[in-house]
Amino acid sequence: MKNLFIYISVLFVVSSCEKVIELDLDDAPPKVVIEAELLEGTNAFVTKVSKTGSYFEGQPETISNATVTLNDGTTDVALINNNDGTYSLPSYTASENVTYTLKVDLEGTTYTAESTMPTITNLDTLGFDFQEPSAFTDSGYFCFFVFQDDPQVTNYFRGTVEVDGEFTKGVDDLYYFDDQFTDGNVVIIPVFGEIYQYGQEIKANLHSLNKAGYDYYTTLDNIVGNSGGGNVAPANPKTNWDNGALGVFLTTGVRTKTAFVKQTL
Amino acid sequence: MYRVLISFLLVSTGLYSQKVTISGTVKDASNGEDLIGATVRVKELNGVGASTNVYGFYSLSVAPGNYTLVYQSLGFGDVEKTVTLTENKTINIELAEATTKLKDFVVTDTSDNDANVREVQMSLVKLDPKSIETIPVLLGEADVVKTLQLSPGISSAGEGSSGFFVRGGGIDQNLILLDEAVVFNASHLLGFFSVFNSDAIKDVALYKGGIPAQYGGRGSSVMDITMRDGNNKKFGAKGGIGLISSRLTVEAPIVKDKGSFLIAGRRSYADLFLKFSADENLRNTALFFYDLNLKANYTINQKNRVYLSGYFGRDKFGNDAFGFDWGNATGTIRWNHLFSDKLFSNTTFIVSNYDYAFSIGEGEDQFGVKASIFDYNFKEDFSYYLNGKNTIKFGLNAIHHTFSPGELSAENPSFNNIILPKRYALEGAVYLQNEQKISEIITLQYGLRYSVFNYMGKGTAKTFDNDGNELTSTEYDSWESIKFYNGLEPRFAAKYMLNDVSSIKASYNRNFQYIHLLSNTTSSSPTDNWVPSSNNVKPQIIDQVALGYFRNFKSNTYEFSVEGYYKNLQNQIDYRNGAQLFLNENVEGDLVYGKGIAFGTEFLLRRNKGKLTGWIGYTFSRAFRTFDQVNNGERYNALQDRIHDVSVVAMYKLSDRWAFSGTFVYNTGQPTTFPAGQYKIQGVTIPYYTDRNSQRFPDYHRMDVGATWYGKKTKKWKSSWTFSIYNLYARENAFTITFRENEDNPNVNEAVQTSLFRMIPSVTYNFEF
Repeated sequence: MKNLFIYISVLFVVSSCEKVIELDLDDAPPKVVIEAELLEGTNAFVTKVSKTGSYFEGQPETISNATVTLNDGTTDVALINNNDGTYSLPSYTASENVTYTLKVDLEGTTYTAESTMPTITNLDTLGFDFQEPSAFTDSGYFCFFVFQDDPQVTNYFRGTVEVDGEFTKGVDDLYYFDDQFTDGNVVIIPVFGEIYQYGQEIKANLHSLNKAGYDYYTTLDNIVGNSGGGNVAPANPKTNWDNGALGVFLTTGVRTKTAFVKQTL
Repeated sequence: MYRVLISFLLVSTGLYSQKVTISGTVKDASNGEDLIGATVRVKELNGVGASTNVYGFYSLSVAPGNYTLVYQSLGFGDVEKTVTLTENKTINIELAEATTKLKDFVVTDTSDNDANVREVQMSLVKLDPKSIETIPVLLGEADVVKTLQLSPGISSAGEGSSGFFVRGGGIDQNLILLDEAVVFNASHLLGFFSVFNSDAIKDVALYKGGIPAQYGGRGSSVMDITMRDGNNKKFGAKGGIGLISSRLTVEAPIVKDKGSFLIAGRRSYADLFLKFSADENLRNTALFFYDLNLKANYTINQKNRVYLSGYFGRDKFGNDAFGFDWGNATGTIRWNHLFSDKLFSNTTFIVSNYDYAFSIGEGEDQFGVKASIFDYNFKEDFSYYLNGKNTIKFGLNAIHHTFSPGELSAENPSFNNIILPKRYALEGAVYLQNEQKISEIITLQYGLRYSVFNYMGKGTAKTFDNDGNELTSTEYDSWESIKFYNGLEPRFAAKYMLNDVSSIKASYNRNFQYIHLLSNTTSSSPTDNWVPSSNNVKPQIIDQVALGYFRNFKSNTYEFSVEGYYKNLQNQIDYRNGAQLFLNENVEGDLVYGKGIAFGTEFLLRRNKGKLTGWIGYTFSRAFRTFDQVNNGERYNALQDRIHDVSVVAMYKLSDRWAFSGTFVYNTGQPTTFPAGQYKIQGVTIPYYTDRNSQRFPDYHRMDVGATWYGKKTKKWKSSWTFSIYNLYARENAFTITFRENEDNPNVNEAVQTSLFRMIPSVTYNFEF
């Protein structure tokens, strides 16, 4: 809505202007940030631990003196400290509907997060549809995820795309959705509304999330890209960490399809 | 006992029989419009008088005798009438505009406009659209809302916005009435224009405090707008052609001196500029608003008069690929009836609607969303002019609300159609108020309003736990009560005359607000949704006390006032982090409730007469909110908190041909939340936030200037050109401040300010015949 507002006002009087300004910001005391994503199947598992830094001056500080432990409800597995702020397991097998607990001990405080691996939705195929140029896009092809949504349960998804081996969008331009409007249907949903060209190689990933992961991305999306200003009050993303830590412990499953762009729908 | 009662009755009727009542209407001689707030004074009896209500009606009781009645209204020549009163008498008066006899600006209007000192009402801003037509505003369109925002205690919700905050209250806490119909969204083109066409408006009264008992339903203020009735003497037309929009008003008698009608229309054509665009899609994009005001009135006889008024406005934005339109529609039927010389009644039936709809895509990809709020409203208001000392007002009000929170319809089989169930409520109130002149010095106004609200089926009531998860869900039948609220709203005001030119006033009011606006933007947006109080949402309760000192100088050439207020706000609404307000059936689970306070002092110095008119206002004010779930439960600066606010408005009439004007505004930047640190997620900088609204935008200030050139006036034709410049010195005021990584060096972050309007010149041609 804010963008629409600016769009209209720009149309109105080509007068709006953007400039970089000097601002005095408060510096809050450093806060612990823990970022971890456990993937379904057998994969490497990495946890990053850091502390916040001043917004304009200074960088977030990586933390290498923590102890990190993963638990699947029965066994504890200790992560290897790589001494660069990352802690990892080279290979770990995670399964659907299992609840995992990640524990980080740091400077006398234990931070705990719990997350259940969701049921993973299969990506059936990718569809492509040619578009004439419009007010917002050039001509080219829309790419569509095509999959059968699981009825009666709420499913949460994130989409990512690699074009010719490069991710097109990162955390600063998130694409996520739930099945509020599509529950139980064969879902044909455009990937970002991005335009691709004939012959490009598209690798599209459908990430199945749980509620906590979806909430995290929704609230993260409110503050990345262009934060502040139009939103009444920006706030830190929702997290499943306790003791005030930032970041999130995600358990997700990814299903991928690769295709060359051509008319299919 | 029985005898005592009889003799008491005899005595009291005897007392009354010694008085006679003069009543009637006061109108503008040129077009028959009722004059609001015109005064009638009895020359021989110091301090005895009355003023006209919004229908131009007055009633005054005096002992039989010979009197000279003086009728006055600001901008009109006085009329004196000698009468011999032996029995009740109806006297209808027409006043001629002072300017029609004007020679070299010697104002023949001697009306002592000291209502601000003498009336018991405080915290009132009155605006006559005629008096503001030269004040420069954005894009050259005279606008009552933008002009009101220049008064102390009323601040704009954002650059160019028609949304406004009154004394630390939210946008939705303003009751906006157009001919008694509630207007839910006062913005066109996302706020750059208000929905009110000033050519169609006769009078605007904004109550910031001391709200009389006949008003209710919103917590902070009442903006009561009266539409013009239309010329009942002869055909007339006026209009204006501007850069962005044009307007035309036509008015004429239905039956001369008995009835008239008025039709006023406006249409913007910003999108015409898009036609010059090289881009074909931009050429096909529509972006405009239009609105229509209609009014008709007919005087059946001395005792009965009927009015019909309507407003219809619409904004449209879109092209082949998407469409977005929204607007208000209201309709009012009124019947004025005089039961006697002393008992005036008005019966009103109103419908109000606000809705928006948007659609995206074409053919089978298309999907659309729409939502609305619709009210039926019945009002019965009585004014009983008991005697010279007491004026009693009483009445009742009943509203049926229908909320349609949202519907999604899609052609694409991937999407399910979603219809959020409609929600229903009944709102009602009765009130009684007396304005009593205790003496020449003291006047009291005391009243009580009792309001009720019944949130009812057909519908589903849900309860939620502390984290917003659904706990229970209960079905209710049509008209079955889900939750009932009621409350007593005491209203009190007092005036104490210190001497002939100064007074002290005090007031207290409690207001219940049963419907609430959910919005996640700072300024209002067309997609904001109104929601009723329910089993989860409690009514907002707002108390305000105010105290003021009023003083006029140089026979009312200058008005000075200082007012202090303190406001307590209960059951305020905010949202959980990540709340989904759009098409969310469980939206109540995402709401959190808190409280607030606001206080401030407002200074106003105003010059009403002479070549130079205008005002200087200064406000010091604070506004805070406290929510358990926000800011760790600690009090934080409300969005409305502006601390220092200065406004200067000057209008200078150089000659018959030229008038100049200028405005200046300054206010402390609005509170906002900026990052207090940063971290990285997947290599991207994420801002870290701590305290809510602990920082501020840079201070806001701006100067606008205008000049009006009046063409040669003939008997039949008047015309003028208005030139104006918005933001004369091109101040870059922050509209948004965002944060991002530097493009060249992602390790460096920067703050980016977007400003909307730098120096916007405009020109408008106005005509009248």
